[in-house]
Amino acid sequence: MRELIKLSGLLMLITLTAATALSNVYLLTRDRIAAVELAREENARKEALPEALYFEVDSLEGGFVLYRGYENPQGTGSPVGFTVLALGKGYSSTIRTVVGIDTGMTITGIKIAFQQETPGLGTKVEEIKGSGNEPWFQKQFRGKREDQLKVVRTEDPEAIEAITGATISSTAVTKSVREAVQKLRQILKES
Amino acid sequence: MSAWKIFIRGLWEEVPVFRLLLGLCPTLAVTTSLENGLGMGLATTSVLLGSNLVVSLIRKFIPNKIRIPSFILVIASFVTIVDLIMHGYTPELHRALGIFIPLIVVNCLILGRAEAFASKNSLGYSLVDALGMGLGFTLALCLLGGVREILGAGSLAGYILFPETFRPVLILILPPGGFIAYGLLLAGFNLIENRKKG
Repeated sequence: MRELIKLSGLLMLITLTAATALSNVYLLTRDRIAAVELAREENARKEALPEALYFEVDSLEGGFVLYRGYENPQGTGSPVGFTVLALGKGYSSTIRTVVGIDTGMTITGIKIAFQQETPGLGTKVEEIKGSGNEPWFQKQFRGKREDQLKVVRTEDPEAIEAITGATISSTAVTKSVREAVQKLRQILKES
Repeated sequence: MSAWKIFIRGLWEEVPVFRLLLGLCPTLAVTTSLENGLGMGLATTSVLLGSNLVVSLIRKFIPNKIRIPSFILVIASFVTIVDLIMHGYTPELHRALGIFIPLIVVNCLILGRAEAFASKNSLGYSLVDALGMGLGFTLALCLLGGVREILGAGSLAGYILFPETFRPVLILILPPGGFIAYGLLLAGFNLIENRKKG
């Protein structure tokens, strides 16, 4: 019995020390990490809606993140488009995609901001092939309309080509982008 | 054994991955490029230094029965610390390595050195061992990552090496290719070692 107390006591001591050290490091890095993620989101917006030089937040409620994008750096005039944060249930993570949509409801581009899919398969949603530095899977969303956002197996200019061996990840992204367009349309209709 | 000998041992004679067949899971997964291999190697070295340091310091106070859970607590703490620091200060590398950073916890190289060396040696020697093994691991990852990147993607550290007409051996940057490249390099190491003996 005494030995049990001694052993568990020592383990508890180590755990307490570890927890203290960890919470301190967490506090020290928290702001920095938040800034990194914020910058990443801003970059994603710029890449999804390249025509816009100024973004104004429209809505952040209910987890629905909507920004209006303006061509003019001062943010005057009418918006050239919108960026919406789309969430899709992937194979092993919730994939966060920033979707750029112009006023004609056409996709101007998407940028996957977060994913933790299967390495080598689902992670191919961010894979860059050949020249250029835009992932081929995301590139094909550009210029597509809502009715073209369906997943097919082969290369198709009117649909989205899935990643071989990563249908769930491909479908998750496509579905979330489609839903984002639908939601935007609904919101614009209401306002 | 002198400190120098301990250091050198981790770089060649008992280099992880090619002599000490430890830490192979992150090795194969992450060596799709030189840069990723280097990043992972340095992250692992940081954890190794931290864990060998603490394990060596507390070695006299840990009863034998709870030494493994104690080591794991220490290692996991350092991995989390490295993960947080990388997220804040090297975000691109953090993104590239992704889930493999937390998986450093199960890299048996770290637990292996804690058990085989740091728990039985002084602080100074333990740090030297960590440095040697960590650097050896990093070099091994760079070698494998470099080979796979050059032949499998036609680039090195992101710089395209060959003209457009070069068709890379794509399989090398996929998991099967990882095994193949690793196996061939391992055979090469064995060849050198046998020649030295014979």
